Amino acid sequence: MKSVIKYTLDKCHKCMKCIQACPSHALSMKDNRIVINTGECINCGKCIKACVNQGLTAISSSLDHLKDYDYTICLVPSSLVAHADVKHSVASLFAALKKLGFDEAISLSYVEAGLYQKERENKGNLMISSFCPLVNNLIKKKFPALVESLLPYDYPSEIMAKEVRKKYKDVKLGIFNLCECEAKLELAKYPHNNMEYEVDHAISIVDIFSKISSNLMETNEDVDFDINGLLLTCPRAIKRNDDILLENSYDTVTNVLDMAEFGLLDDFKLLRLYPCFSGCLGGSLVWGNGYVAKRNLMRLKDYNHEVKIDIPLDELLNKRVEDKTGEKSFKEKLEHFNLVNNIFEKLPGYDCTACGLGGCRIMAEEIAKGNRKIEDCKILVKENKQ
Amino acid sequence: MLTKKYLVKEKDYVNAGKVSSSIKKELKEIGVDESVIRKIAIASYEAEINMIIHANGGEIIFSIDDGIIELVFADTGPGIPNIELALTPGWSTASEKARQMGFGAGMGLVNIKRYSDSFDLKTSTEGTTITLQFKVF
Repeated sequence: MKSVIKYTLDKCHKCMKCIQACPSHALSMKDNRIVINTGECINCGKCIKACVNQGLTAISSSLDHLKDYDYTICLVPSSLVAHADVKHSVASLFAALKKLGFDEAISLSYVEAGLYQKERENKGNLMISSFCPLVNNLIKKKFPALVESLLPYDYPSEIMAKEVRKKYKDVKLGIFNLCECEAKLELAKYPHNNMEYEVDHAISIVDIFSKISSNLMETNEDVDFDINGLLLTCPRAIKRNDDILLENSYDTVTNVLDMAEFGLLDDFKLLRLYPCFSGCLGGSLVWGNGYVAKRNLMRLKDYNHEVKIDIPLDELLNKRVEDKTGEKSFKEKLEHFNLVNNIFEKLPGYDCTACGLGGCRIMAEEIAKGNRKIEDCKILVKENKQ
Repeated sequence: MLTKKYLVKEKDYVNAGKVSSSIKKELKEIGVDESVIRKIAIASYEAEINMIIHANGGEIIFSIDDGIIELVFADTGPGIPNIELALTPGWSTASEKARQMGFGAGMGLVNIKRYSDSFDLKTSTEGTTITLQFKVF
């Protein structure tokens, strides 16, 4: 995984709020600037919210790239559609997207509904839905024992992108995915150079929302979506099922994963975890708020239109392989751990972040690697002076 | 070589699982293989809960040496009168309070044995010591 977040200030106010907010300790301060360790970042976006000077931002692609292609398709996430309250406004949303320059706008709700159907077919051991890139990153980084419990399905945007590519084989096709959160910006070739994805450009919804709203107008065009896919964007809108555990906040998601690792949730069949409040509806790159959107979504429920699309199982699977080369031997890992532990015991343990790192454990890790010195600890230096 | 000792207090339901959480966290920091972490997490949680429910608390010693992770759960409780029965799936002596809190399903020792690579249980009226070993590779 790669970080989609960039630091933009020339001079930082050094409040350390972002460093303290980062659950992966991926941020540090060097020469008065924030440095993001891209290998550690899980793209949760907590640092962006924590910065009071708007110094951190998620990098998204732009509509300027529409001209690079002969035919352009916009993938519309259900979380954006669900912000409309009547079917009529869904139709104007799709019409507005075409006005922005897309040749076609396709709702992801069909794939989302189809995937959920597949997820619910699981009758074996507890499995975890793989629809949320942040949850997937979190599991890979912090709950590795649960990687084998992740369902093998690919992201709806990827499945749909593969489908449309089949249809437009002979043209220079550009696929743009509108993203409701930071983590989804990673799932495209551009702007982050993740060439393994089928989607070409990831665009943040907030970046183009003013353009969408200025193009919203009456339309006679009809629109199709699968209401079951739309309902999946909000865990509070999904029909209750005893076998499925739904959670919707970052902290509860990490608690649930912790319990799952201890085997305490084995009575469930499926964990569908939404780290954003209100679910994808409340994604930080969606305009509007999760409460209103949930209410709108319930109004849309009356348009109970289901469109089935049949995609073979094989094409639903995530086949991207992760590079695991360069792993150290267990002996080396244990030696390094002991070295870090010995340094850690000498540090004060307040996790004050005054050194510019996420806490004493990270400081010990950096000292062990030779990147910092023990004298860089401001508390120890002060205590020694006294 | 690494050794750590943790104390577990009697009937301390509120803090139940904290030692296992610490052990799990350390295993992740070391970078132990995920399949091994899962086995240790499940076994150590069960054993820790057992110490809280059935025994008068005790100590947990976590050590790593030469590719073997060892966990020793030593309590000063009343001992297990019938080991064969205690290792029968579903057999439980948990109090009503423990059951209300979701513990005491009768799978504790069974799972501990199932998930560990080596399982040793010594028990008397003075207390019980369970020693578990896990191969790192």
